[in-house]
Amino acid sequence: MAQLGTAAPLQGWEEIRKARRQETEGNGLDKDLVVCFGDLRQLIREPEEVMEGQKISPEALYSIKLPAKEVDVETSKILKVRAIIQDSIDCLSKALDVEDEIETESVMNIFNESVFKLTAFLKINKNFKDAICLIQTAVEGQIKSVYDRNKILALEKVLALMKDNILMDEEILNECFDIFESASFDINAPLAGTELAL
Amino acid sequence: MNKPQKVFLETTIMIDRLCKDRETKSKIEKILSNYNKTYTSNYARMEFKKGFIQNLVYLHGKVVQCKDLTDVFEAISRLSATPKGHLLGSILENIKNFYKKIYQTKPSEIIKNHGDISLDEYLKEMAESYLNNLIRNSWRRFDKVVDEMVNPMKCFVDIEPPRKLGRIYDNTPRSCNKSKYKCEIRKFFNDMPESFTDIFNRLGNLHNPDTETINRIRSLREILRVRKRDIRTKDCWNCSDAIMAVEAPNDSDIFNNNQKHYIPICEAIGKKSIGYDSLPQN
Repeated sequence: MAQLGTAAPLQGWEEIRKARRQETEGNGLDKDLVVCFGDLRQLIREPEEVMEGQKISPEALYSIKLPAKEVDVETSKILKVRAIIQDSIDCLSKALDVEDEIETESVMNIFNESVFKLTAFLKINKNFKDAICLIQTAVEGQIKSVYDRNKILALEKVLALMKDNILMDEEILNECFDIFESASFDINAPLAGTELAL
Repeated sequence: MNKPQKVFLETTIMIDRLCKDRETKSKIEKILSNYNKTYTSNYARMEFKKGFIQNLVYLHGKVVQCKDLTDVFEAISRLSATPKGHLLGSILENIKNFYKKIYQTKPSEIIKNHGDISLDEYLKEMAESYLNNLIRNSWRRFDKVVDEMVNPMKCFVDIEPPRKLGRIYDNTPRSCNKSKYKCEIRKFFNDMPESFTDIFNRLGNLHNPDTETINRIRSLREILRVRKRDIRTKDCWNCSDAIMAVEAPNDSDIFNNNQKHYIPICEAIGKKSIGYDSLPQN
């Protein structure tokens, strides 16, 4: 949940920072960026000279006025992706609970559709996109086979990792790959039938 | 019968082991189950980087920069008509077909409500991610899929993984002549003169040798002729199969997907060349 609290406000702050920038021509090689503070003479006056209207309340110092719309979009995207992942995890838990093979496979068919819904979030984060590709590859590579418990547990582990690390780094991505690899998913199924050696 | 102790995995098998599908991997595992210990070498890793990984890096870069996969196919088709161009085309074709199947078998409702992405866009995104995953993970796992890496001639000790430069990979330095450290390949040849001479003689007796073998014979002759002179990079690479067969531990079998070249080389030095054909046919 930390991501909900940090990612969006930082982006909002970035917007504020950009809005306060002024570009000036510098030495001709590049443009200088300066932050506009208004009249500098105001800053060197005695405190008592500062007019009442210029005083800022302590609360205002700590409040960041965010472009509310953007925060909502980011937050709702993350909430949506987490909800889809949770649905997929619920499918897997259900598949683990049932004893009958046909029933398990039927639940896994629903899972297969559910995991495709993540496609809507390919642009959230580069490594997250690679993780979506990884999980869709693993599931498709399994389409003609029967899931064993080990594979379902591996999918559950990977999805839990994805859910907690939507803005993931490469280490988490490696971890996802290793989980699939150790559960013998056919991660390189797309290269089946290709003669790789020249 | 006792299990043979050791097996050396040459570059072509390392590529298959790291990058091929389940069926090929299970064939490899079946063959490896006959052995107690597996080896490969830094020389094989260098070949992997300058050959196969470099092809993937090119392909990944094109997928990132082109509008869609059709443009990538067009770019590949304009490469010189070499086996490499053909290989790149068939890799991309297989990737495309795999993800196309995923997209096309999903109900249009899911695509509309959740996918919100056209087939072309989806294929481009998936191809980029798949190649990215393949480059990173095959490199990362190179030395993890064997028990031991050997490097008796200290080949390319500072070899590095391909690095991401923004969206695309930079695979330099990809060949040992860019290494900061001088290797000991000359010493290695001088320490093993009998093995290399035997290979040279055996290859010289082959009827109708192919271009690769002719180049190997020529380079071996040059290397063995003047033993005090540094070995040229080109000669070293021409002798790659011979070098790997010799650097493999004593009494090890050489597992490869290039039997045509390895059988005579291994015969010359008393080692056994193993290919996929060593599996009993069903």
